[in-house]
Amino acid sequence: MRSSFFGLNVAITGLYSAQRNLDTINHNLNNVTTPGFSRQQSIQQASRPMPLYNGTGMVGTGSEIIAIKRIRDEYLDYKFWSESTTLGEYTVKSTMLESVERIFNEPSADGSGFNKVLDDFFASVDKLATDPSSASARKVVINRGVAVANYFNATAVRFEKLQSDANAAVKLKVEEINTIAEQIRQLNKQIYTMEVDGSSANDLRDKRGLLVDKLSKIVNIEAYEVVRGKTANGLEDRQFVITIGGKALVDHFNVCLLEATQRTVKNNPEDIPNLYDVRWSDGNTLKIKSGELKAYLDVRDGAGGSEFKGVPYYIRKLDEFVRKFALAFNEGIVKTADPSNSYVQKFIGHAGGFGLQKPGTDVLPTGIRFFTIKDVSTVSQKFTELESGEFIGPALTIDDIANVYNTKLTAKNFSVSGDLINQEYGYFNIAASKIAGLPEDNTNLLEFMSLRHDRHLFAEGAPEDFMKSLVATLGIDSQQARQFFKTQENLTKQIDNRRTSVSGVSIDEEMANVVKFQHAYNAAAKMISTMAQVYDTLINRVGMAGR
Amino acid sequence: MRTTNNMLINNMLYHINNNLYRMSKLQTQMATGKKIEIPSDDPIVAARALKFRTDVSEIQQFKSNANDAYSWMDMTEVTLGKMIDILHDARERAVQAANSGTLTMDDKNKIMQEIKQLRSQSVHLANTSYAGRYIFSGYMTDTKLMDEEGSYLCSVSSKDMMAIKTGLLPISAANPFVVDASSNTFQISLKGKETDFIDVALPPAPATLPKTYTSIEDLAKDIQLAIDALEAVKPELKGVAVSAVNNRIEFTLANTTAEDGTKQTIFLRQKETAGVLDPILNRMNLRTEGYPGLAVSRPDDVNYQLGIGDLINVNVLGTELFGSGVKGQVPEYIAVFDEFIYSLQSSYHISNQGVLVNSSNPLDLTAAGSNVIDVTIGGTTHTITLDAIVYDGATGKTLKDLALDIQVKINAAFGSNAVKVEEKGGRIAILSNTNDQISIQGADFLGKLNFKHTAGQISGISSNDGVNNAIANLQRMMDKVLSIRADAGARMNRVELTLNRLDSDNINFTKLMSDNEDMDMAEVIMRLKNEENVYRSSLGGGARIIQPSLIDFLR
Repeated sequence: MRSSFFGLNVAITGLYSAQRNLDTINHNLNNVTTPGFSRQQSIQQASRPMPLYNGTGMVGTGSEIIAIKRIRDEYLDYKFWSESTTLGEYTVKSTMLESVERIFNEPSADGSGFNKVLDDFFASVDKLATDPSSASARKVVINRGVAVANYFNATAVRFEKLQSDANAAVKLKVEEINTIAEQIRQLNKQIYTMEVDGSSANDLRDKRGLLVDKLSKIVNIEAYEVVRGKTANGLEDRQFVITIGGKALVDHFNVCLLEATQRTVKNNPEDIPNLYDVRWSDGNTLKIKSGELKAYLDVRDGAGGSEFKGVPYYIRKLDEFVRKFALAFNEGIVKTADPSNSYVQKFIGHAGGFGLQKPGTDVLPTGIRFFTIKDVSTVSQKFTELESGEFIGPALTIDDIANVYNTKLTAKNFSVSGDLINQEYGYFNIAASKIAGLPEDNTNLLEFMSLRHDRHLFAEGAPEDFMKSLVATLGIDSQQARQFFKTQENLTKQIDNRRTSVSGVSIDEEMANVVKFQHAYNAAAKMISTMAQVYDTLINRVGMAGR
Repeated sequence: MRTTNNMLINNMLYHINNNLYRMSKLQTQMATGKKIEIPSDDPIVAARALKFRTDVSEIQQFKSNANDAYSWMDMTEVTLGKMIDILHDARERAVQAANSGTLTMDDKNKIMQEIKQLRSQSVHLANTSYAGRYIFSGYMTDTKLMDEEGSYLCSVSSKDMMAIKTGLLPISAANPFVVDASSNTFQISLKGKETDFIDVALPPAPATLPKTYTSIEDLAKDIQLAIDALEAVKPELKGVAVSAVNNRIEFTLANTTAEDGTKQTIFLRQKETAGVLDPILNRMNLRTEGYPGLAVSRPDDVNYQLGIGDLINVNVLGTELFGSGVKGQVPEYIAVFDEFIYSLQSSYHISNQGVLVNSSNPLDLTAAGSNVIDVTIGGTTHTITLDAIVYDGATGKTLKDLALDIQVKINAAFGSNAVKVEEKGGRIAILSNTNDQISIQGADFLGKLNFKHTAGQISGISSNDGVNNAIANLQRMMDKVLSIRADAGARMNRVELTLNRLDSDNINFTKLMSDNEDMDMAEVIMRLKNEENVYRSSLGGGARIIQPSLIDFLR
């Protein structure tokens, strides 16, 4: 026995199915440009057929939409997150290293770089050697010396600024991580609530995926769903977890934030004070391997050696140059080339030479250091260039003197000494003479010129080699960072393309489907009209024979 | 593979972005003309660029030095040429004076006037200056070499006369120099061998430690006495003279060739006792190097740098050119002229070989017998007793005063105007105003005043002998100046060659620098054009494929 309105009901299911399909396509088309959107597909299947009891078989009952599926390849997400971390790291590193290159400004076209400044200084010393008693030549030497000192001061300050910028960025990134973690936690709650009955919260998952994308660029994370037992209605209890270095940042409804606290003890003596240390808020140490945060930390803290060559490395190199150069120029003390690595006095240096007799006095200036530091003078209570006596203090032996340079002198406070700048007739103090301060005696100056080509002054060689090797190392590091960045960018883009290939909305495809489902709707509607006519005939015409 | 519109658009944007990046790099290259902007563009090029810039800057500096050196040496060479002319003239006059059988007094006088002129011209040349610096004065270019008399105003250290000068020592009553047990001994040697060093202890016996000096002359005198005391052990130390000059102490050695022909130099060394160094040399502001601290006399060579490790000596030293001597002494060159003048002036004259008398080296005529001489003129002998005082350069006690004393006493004994005694820079000449031979006897006196005597007696040189000597001496001087001039000329040649080489080096290095870092304009423009083409075609192509979709074709 057949149900009266069986056909109508079947036709209506077709109508509903077509409508639902069109709804899904509608949603897809409206979200073509939404970032992070995965296309949705309605799953249609034939409804349960009804068995006929007279052996005819089973008759179909139409179609139904059983699910709206989110088309997403989780594996590609996972791959994307691991590659995007490296991309984030090298994006930041290549930009920061380029900043470092611009700070050094070598090779400079306009003569403001280190090379030119040092060349000019040596040129002025050489010129003085051809006329040691000339007042104008002496003044030029002092001026050029001041230019050298200013270069180092300015560069050191710029590096400190760069370190401070990186430090601020570290704090910002930590805050960003914390904000995203909070948002993900909220989404976890919402998704869990929505999916309690087994359905899939598609758009919320898209939102969460987008946040994880953002997070993965900043720090290296592992994001996955774990199954922890079963829920009350027998389904798997799926919980979303994000970990950094093995410890959970977000675990289902719980979040453990990061915090940035200021250091009390400096990592490197060259650092600016109060840099941020990044830790878990419950006190555990944070292990990060990659990402933008790591890049900023490397640039800010990296001291070379086995670590990344960050700002402290370059400040240390500048300090090293200034100390060794000033020690050799002022005192004639260099490190020996042999394994004992001790200090030896190679020549008498500026302090051992004699200046010229100043008018009105009857002494020859000696024991004058050409380079000292800018500091608060105990004599005048002002911040000024120190004079030689105050700078050296009581140090007498070679090792003691070397110690003074290694502890007191930095690139930031490097300056020409107060004896030359602040005294009247200070230029008489330049020790051109080795023996006895005679007007034409330029023997000490010739020793200084030999410093220029002394291959044992630095580990890298002569002064020009030092800068050359520093610039070359920097150039190679920066070039490498840029190459990595380009490669990563390409790789990440390719993975993203594959993701889009799977989850992206294709307008052409959707439009074709629109036509398809429109036809299906038309067909179903036509079926309804036909069934209506059938019913009409049945109700109004059957049993009215002859009337 | 399923491809969506978004993928097409994203890909197109990515490639266009890369294209624009390349174009922007090329644009920068074209605008700056350089291959690299920052070192990471090409690290090797960057490193080499730095090296080449330094090289070029050095070459400019060397060129400037070479030009300065050439100017100085040119001036020197011209001056030497003039000196040779003077010597040539003088020698001609000498030959003339020798060959014309009997010259009248008038003729002799004329020649003498000319020689006097040539002598003063020589002194004038000795004080030649270049850019405000006296070129023959070694390191003391602010001091003239000679005064009008021809005696040195400064002690120039050269290989013919070695000198070590300390720094300025302002010793006075307010600022005394104390010598005590911890700082009173140094070592001296003329050979530099470890075994040759001998201790010099202040103060010399019989004074005892400690001693306070309130004037630098006293200190110099004591050092000289201490060294003199060692002459018995090391006779070569006789040649070492210690004087206080212009607030410095000078150690000088006039005779740099030892008796065995080896070269001598003054070595002063700190004395080491049980690992502790005696600091007296450093307290005298004398820079010592090494351990124990050593100070060596060196010539006052002015060196300019012409290349890496390449120094050239630009000056000629006064004591090499004119003869060795310290401040206050007349050198051999001038003495030759003086001898010639004396020979023309009088028939017989006696002269010494120069003696150094100053506050540190006083001439002591108080000892018994050292102020008594026997003078014989024309057969008559008188015993002359001179003032028994110590001549030390103070007012009334200069050698000129001694000369006057000798003149007055001899004239008193022999009758008026028997002799004329002249003194210039330590050289004393006794000229006979009559035509009689002079001779002097008195070993002590003659020895003290450095007369060349045989068995305590010396006789005057006749006019003829003197003139003949002058010919030989002037020839010898001329040979010396000629050889110095040749050396200077050779050095000038070297500077010229260096200048030429530096010029071509400059061009070479600039070319290397340019090859390394400059961009080839044609190449950049071509590449830029190429990228532009790619850009335009990618834009055009991209526009065509991203625009249409199925929507355009559905009714």
